[in-house]
Amino acid sequence: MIKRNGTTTTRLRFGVRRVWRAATHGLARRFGIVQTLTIVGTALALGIGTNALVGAQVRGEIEDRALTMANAQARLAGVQLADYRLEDLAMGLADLGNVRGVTSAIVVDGQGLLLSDGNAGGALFVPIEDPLIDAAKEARSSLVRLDDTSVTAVAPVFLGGGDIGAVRLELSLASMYEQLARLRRQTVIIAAVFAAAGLLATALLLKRTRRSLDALLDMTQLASDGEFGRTQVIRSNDEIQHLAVSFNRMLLRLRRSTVSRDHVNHIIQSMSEALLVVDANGRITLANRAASRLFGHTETGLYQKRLRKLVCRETTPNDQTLTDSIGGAPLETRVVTKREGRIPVLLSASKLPDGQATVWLAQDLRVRKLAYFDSVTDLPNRVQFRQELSRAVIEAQRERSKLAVFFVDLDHFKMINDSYGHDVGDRLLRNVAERLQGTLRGDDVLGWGDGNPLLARLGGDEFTIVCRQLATTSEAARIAERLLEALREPFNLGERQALVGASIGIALFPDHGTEPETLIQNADRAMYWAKERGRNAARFFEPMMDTAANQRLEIETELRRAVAVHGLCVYYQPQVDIASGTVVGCEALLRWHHPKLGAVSPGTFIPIAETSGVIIQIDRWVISTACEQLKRWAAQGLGDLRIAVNVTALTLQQDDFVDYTLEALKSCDADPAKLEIEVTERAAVSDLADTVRKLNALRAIGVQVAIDDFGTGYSSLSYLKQLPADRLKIDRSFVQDAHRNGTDRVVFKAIVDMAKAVGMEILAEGVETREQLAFLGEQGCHEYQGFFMSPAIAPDDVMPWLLERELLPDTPQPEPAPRKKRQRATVDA
Amino acid sequence: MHLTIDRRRHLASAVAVMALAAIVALPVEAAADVLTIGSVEEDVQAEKAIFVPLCDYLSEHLKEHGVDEVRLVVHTSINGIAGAFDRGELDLYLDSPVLTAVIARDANAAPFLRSWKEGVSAYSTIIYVRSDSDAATLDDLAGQRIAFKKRESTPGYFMPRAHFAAQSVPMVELRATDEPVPEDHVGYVFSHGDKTTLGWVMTGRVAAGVMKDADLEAPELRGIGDRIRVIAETPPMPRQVLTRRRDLDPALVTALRVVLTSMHETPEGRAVLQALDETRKFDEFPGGGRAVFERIWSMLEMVDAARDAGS
Repeated sequence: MIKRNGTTTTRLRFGVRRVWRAATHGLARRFGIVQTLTIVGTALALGIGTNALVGAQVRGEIEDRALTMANAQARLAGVQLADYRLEDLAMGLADLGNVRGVTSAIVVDGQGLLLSDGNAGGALFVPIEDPLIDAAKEARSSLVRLDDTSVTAVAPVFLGGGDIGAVRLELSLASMYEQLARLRRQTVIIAAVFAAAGLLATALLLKRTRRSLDALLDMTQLASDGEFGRTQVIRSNDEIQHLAVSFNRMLLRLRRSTVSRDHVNHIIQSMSEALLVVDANGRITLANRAASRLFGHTETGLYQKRLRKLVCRETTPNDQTLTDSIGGAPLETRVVTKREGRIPVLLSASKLPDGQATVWLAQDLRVRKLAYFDSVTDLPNRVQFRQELSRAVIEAQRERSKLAVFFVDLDHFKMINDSYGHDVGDRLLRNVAERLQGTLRGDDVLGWGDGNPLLARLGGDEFTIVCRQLATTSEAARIAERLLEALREPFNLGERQALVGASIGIALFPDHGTEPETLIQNADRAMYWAKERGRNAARFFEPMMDTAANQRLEIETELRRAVAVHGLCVYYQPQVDIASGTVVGCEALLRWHHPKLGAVSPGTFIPIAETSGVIIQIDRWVISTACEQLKRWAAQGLGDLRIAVNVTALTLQQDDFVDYTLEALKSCDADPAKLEIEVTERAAVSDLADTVRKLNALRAIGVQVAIDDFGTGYSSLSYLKQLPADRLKIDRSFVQDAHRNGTDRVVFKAIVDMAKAVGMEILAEGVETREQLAFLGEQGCHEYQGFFMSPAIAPDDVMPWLLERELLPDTPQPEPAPRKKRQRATVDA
Repeated sequence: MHLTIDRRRHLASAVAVMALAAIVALPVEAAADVLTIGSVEEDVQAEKAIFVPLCDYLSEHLKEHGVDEVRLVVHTSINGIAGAFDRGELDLYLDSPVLTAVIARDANAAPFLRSWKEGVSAYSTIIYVRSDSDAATLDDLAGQRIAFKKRESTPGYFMPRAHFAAQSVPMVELRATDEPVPEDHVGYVFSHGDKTTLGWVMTGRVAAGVMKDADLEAPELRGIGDRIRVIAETPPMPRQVLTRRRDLDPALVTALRVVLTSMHETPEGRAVLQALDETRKFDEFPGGGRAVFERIWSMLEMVDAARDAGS
């Protein structure tokens, strides 16, 4: 029994606690407090406001009422008072005294003596002293007085203009206070009733709301556990129902768009690519099956292994490399596997919000191919070549064997590419690759031993080959000779054939270097050396090539500096009209005298300028200088002289070439008709349409155009017809022996005929003898330049030179100047 | 000239509004075992509140004397009372001394007991003037005005008028206070209120006024103080008189006398008396009822004579 009582007590206590907790926590407490405060506050405000308003109104009404009654009584009492009919007065006042709220009603006579108090028992004919009565009489108007407990109204009574008395009426405010107190009580009661009803309604509403919220809470907890399939139907016709509908819709969308954790695990495990998750310390925290297969470890075996241990050190030398790969470009590396040893992979990583990182290891063949093979020739690319070369070097070091690195560069590939387009160029590259592969495949023929040579394409027209386990240096020479021989054969490029030789540089391990990069670099230098010295040849690397390369680098550096400090200068070689013998123009020729290097030949620095891109700045500077010179000559009376400026292909390709030239002319106020732009046929046809457009633009304002070095390139009539040129300059190589060599003469005549056919004037370069000049005259050439007349001379010497020889236009033709010592700097003359 | 029934009718008509001769509620035929008390009043209910306790009391105390029932008969005029006495339908009637005296003179009624209405056995009327007045006697008021209350009032008119007549001071009735007064007469005007009378005296509208002697002690006049002065006072008059049917059974009369005069000795009787206009007790007329009535009859004759002479 005691136990049962205790249980009952405990249950009761728990029940009370639960109710108390529900009432004092969460929404119930907040709503309850807010609503109670609202209701009580409203009730208080209403009560206070109503009391104040009603109090004021009631007081006003009582005042009006008192005045009205006093005035009425005064009118009634007029005759009675005049006749001193006190009983009648008393009767009227007694009636008034019965009126609710009236506590006193008296009538006084003109002397202020009490005549009646309505049978209240007051002593009659005693003076009543009341300032209000006196004031009312004086004011001859009814007055009212209000104090805390009563309202007193006095109405004076006049008869015939005389003051015969007054009626004073006093009304108690007790009824008003009672009314206000009753109103307060009613307000409090109403507020209490509404508060109780409001709280009850709030409790019911909250109970219903909490039930809905609890349902939503259950749903969200399930959703947080990944269970999106449980929805709730709440019919509360309020925002919670809208919330539930929105939440259900969200769950539906989540169910459609979100996968569960198991599903994600399933996806991760079913992936064909290896996926690892590593922590901030680089230890593996998760590995999928593909990763397990890749490394040959179980998934648990990979757990907590350091990723660094699984990646080859030679391809990924340090942790920083791995770190840098996070979020960056995929890292080409190799991983150490149990079954296949080291295999290449593309490693990409991305950081997770919790500090971990996902690591993807792609073995996809296509990816591998993109990463390691050239897409044009399918040969190994630079990356793979370097890796293979590294392995070969290590192997050669270990086995103390020789290996050779061949650097093959096609001759004139760029011309073919530019002339026939990239498709033809790519086809040529593929043919070259096949031919090189075919040549390298015959081990027995080449006697290379068991080491398979590797052919790779580094880019452009550059191929590299590494041959391992060479017995002697001569083996490498034989291989190079075979390669050159193979490349000398014409290539069939569809409708046309092309002859492309090659220049090959060879570097041997360990003779020319022990590091892969050094071997490649030295083979490149040897190739360059071979190319510079006639092309279509192979050269072994020699230490002096290294020096030459360094010199080339030095020249490039100094050239850049010279351009910056205006260390270059322009000399002018006169151009002479053959018929009149007068000087009609000059060709601007660059000269560079370096303080330490001395006079540097244009044949030395211009190729370097072209390969380094400095030539653009140089060409522009020459154009500006020529324009300034034109202006000066014009001022000196040599306004008829034109200046021909050589523009390289690179400069011609610049979009603002025309604008720059026009601006230079404009800034110097030079005559555009006296400026001649010389472009080589090769430069002109590299982008024929663009060239034509730009040259037409220049010609439109009078600038003259000359095709330079004609005969050394395509010498195509079709090109010639398309090019908007005024003059054709025949290369000196066709001039020098044309007067005595039959073949050259034929070629020369053909060129002249072509020029005439398209309406161009002809200028022959490199005229050194009277015989040559005579021949030119016979062939119908219009102009010439060359040492026969003059080498290039300094700008300040031009005028004296002309005056000295009286070669100014419209002056009699002098005898050709005595031949001067040939200046070293000229290349075109 | 004697006050006749016609005269009495005239007086009664001033007390009660002329109305239908309807007799209210109660049986009118007297019987041996029924005692009837009469009253003149239009408000029957008010009268019942006053008299029913007395009826019940008498009924209770007269059973042993053969009275089974005591009834109240309310009449609307004094004529009704007189007729009822004459027809033997009424046994007792309580009213002012003048009215009861008139009824006793003209009808089958006789004075029975003195009633101390409102605790007073008798009263008189004082005649007063303002303190600064030169009048010291009634004769001094000749050529001046005096205010009476109203013609129907015993102390406010009848008693002082009779007193003037007794003093042989000629009077003339005026209609207003500003009406001229013959020099050898005292002009009287009705104020219709003691307070009005006082007001007129205080304001000089009239030279003198009258009021019951007891009214001098009224709270309302305590402020008057010595501003008025009494120059005459009438002989006292019983406050109220109980008359009986003259031929009422003597045994019953005796029984009634015993019961009524001893009422004030018991709480029950005092309560009944209190309800009866605060009557203190019933007692015998000190000089006999007949003497009182004869004085009143004499006063009536004097007043009538004086009025006839002045008019």
